[in-house]
Amino acid sequence: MNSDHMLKTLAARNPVRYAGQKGFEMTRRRLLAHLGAAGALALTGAGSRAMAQEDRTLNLLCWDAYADPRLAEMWLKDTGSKIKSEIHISDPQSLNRLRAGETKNWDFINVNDPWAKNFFWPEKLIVDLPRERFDPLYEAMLPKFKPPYARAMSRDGQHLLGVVQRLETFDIAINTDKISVEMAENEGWDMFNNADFKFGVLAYEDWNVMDLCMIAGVHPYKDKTEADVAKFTETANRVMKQAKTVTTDFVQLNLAMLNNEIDAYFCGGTYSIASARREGNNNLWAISPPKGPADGKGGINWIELNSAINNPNPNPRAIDFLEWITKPEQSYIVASGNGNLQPVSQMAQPEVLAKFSKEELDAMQFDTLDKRLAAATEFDIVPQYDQLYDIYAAAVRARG
Amino acid sequence: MKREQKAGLVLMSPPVLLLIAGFLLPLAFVAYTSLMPPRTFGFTSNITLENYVTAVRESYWRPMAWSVFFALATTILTMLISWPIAKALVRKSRRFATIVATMIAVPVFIAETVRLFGAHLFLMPRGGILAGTINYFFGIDIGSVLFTPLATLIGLLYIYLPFALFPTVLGLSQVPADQVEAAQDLGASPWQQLRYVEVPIASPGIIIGSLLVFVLVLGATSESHMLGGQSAVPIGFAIEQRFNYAQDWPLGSALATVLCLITALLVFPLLSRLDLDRLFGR
Amino acid sequence: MTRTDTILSLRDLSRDFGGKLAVKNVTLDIREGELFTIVGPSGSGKSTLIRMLAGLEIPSSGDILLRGKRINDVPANRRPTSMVFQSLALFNHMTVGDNIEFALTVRGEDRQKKRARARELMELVRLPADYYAKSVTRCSGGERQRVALARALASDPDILFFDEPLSAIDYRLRKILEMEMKDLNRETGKTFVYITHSLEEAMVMSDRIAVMRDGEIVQLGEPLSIYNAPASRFVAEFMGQVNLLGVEKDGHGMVLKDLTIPLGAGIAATEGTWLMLRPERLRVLPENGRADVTFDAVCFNSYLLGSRTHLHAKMDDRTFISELDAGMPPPEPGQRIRLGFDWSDAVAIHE
Repeated sequence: MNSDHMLKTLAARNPVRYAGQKGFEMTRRRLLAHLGAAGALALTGAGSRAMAQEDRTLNLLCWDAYADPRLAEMWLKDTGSKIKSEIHISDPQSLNRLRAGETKNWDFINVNDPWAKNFFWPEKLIVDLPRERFDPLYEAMLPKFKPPYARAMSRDGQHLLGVVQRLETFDIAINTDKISVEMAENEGWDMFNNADFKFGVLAYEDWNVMDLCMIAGVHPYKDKTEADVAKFTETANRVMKQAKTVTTDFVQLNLAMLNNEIDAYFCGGTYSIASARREGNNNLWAISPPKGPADGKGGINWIELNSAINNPNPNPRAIDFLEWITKPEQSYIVASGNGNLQPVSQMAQPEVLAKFSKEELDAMQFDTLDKRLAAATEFDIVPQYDQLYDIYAAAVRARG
Repeated sequence: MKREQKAGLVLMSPPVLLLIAGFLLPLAFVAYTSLMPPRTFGFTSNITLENYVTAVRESYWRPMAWSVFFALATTILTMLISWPIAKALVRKSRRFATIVATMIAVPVFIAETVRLFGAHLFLMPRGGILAGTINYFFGIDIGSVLFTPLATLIGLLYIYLPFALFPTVLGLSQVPADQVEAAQDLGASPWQQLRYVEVPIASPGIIIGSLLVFVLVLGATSESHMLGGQSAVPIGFAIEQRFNYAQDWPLGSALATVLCLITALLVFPLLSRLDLDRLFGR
Repeated sequence: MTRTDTILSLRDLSRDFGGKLAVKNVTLDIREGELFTIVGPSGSGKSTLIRMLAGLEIPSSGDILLRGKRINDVPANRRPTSMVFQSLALFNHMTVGDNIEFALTVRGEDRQKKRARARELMELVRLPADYYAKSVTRCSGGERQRVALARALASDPDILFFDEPLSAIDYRLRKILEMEMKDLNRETGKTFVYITHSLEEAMVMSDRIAVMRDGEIVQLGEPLSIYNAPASRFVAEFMGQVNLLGVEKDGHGMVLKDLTIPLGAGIAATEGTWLMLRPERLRVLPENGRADVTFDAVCFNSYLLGSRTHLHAKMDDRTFISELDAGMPPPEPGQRIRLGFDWSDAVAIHE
């Protein structure tokens, strides 16, 4: 392969920058540590209440882009207070942390909408937002987000749980030197049923369950029949066994594609390939199959909700931050923060769009976003998720 | 109670309390959580052994077996690699020892993921450092072990060698040179010198090193993530899955408890044989 | 086998430590069954020499011949020799029995045979039988000495090397062990090569002694011949308690330097020669006692050495050592005394 590309890819992968991000585990140890901390807190009662009161620093539990230091600088300039951020490991991991009593440590979180809707809100880990203040923000987004936007609301439709910012479809990443875009879109998820296909799996495991549904030809978000479960089981065992590699680090998967070890991977999207594309690897391409088992659609569209945490001692600026972060300059940083590129719902505003260079828009395949969104069903809760997940996990264990 | 005893108790109580709060209590939480119904949160009185039944019935023996295999293989191999290095460190000049020890110790201060990513680049096919260099000079494509259990094992050896090496150095430094010479003089071959003199005297260091490596590898997950492509799933990852995407703390806790028990079963008999006094030269 | 057969020959043996010659061209024959002692101060190369003989050090040049066969390249574990180390180097993680049996264990002997041999050796070195299962760390210094000896003997070696094994033992016990060493040499009939920095120790037990200095052998001979005729001032001084009198030239011919007394007849000396006078030959003269040479001195102090008494007397800044006759009361410190000796008792040392 082109050694220049390799170097650029490596440079883009400054691993220190990613330490602690999605895919960098230590989860078990950290979890045990937190369990320990929770235990100690339960014993001493008080905890760190005093600490939260003194310093009105805004604490973010967030994905990488929100940890961009430029945001912290701007916030300091605008409000005179500081931002401290920690990058999540996964939605469920952060759920565990808040459940274990960390709500007092955090003011802001951003998670995928089903997690917010089905866990964080019912368990009172986040607060709802005043509609009158936040509906105008939704008006300024792409048309599909017109308020009240159901995915941002609680299940009963009564409460606004957060602000949509980052969004994307997240399905399949391919190497166009090996597979043409047309062919990939035509074959769609069925590609992975091909016994000689060389592919990898990005182990965002809730996504993997949905993807395996798609590969099995089962609607991920509808109730499964026994036959569906059987189909899923067979597919999961076969596909996970056939996968060349299963990893939570998409840089590894991009490298494996560039090295021709694999020709595609699921789950993948511009979120996982944009930084490699920006470094010149234009043969990496994200597709969302236009046809598939989800009411005819093959893609899955996710959104993240920016929410305020139900801190027992709420930070008065937490709500302001949710609005502040959607301003043009801030939106641009969120979309390009920390080296990744990511569409944001605020790109409907010309003022925001103008901040992106042509290269950046190319890297995030912005011109295909509408097409991919049109091909995609909305990320939702998977019925029988527990059962399917256990089948999936057993299939992963059966790899070795 | 004598006055000194009283003072001893008072002095001992802070660390003892800290141990109870920071070490035993979390373990107790884990153990209790493992008795809760699957996929529930919080502590109730609905105690059940269901999770243990699941742990046995489902294919969790696979990751458990892989982890035990990796732990054993890594322990044995790091020990075999450490021995000659440790011997050179103990016998050779101080300057040589300092250089080698620094070269081995410094990477320990670099994040594990960073080092493993380096190993990933090293092992990559074609463009990788190893395969690329061989290809460039000899025109041979050696392929790659990346995404195989062997790659995981290589990563484990790379990460855990220092944990085997330094205790071995400590152990070997307890071996008097004259006793080795005496053994040789009395007719012992190099192998017999090792077996009858060096290993028995260095055994506290060897035991500590082996225990460290064994226990750490038993819980290790990064190597399989970053090099092995989960071609063999370690038990740590299977536990992590239960806590994470499965949102099943009780089964995760049950698996963790089983792992703790296996570890304790292996570790405590060895620990009881350890003469710390001798190791610290008392 | 007779006691004059050579068992071990050293031919031009040298050991170079990075430019520094620790042992220089040593040529020596050690005889079958003798107790041969190499004596020298620290740094004289005696340890390096014995380590080469045992196979623990490789000669830089020269040959070691065991019964005529060159063994330079034979490693220590394949040589039919054993060594008792200065530190004893007992295996502290083993029992007395395991230590003694070690040579047999590595040879693969069966348990019964090993045990029988250990019992036999323990008896030989006078260790109680119930010490068999005792840890060596719980033995006293003398007992450890005996364990080391038994361990070295277990393999029935042709030669036993001793690298100053008694140096850390207290005086009284050392005296006993020195004699036992000599007895053991007779009882076992084995060749002992012994290293010590104490010529006194060497004198007690050796058949022959080689004195080493700076990597070379400066005198080789039987104890008495060395005692009576040290070949050099170094050897004489090394013997410790002797009087050395310098010779110089003045108007009348050769005189004793400090006493300014002309040399007597029969003493062939030139400038730089030294006269050695043993303490027992320099007498404290009674009122009307006579000697070839007499001079006055002041008693400095006297030391009771068992049955003997040594007197240190000063004349100006020089100290003389005299041994008092048995039963003679020592003079008081500060008392003026008359010392004397006969020319026939003085030994001329030309080097």
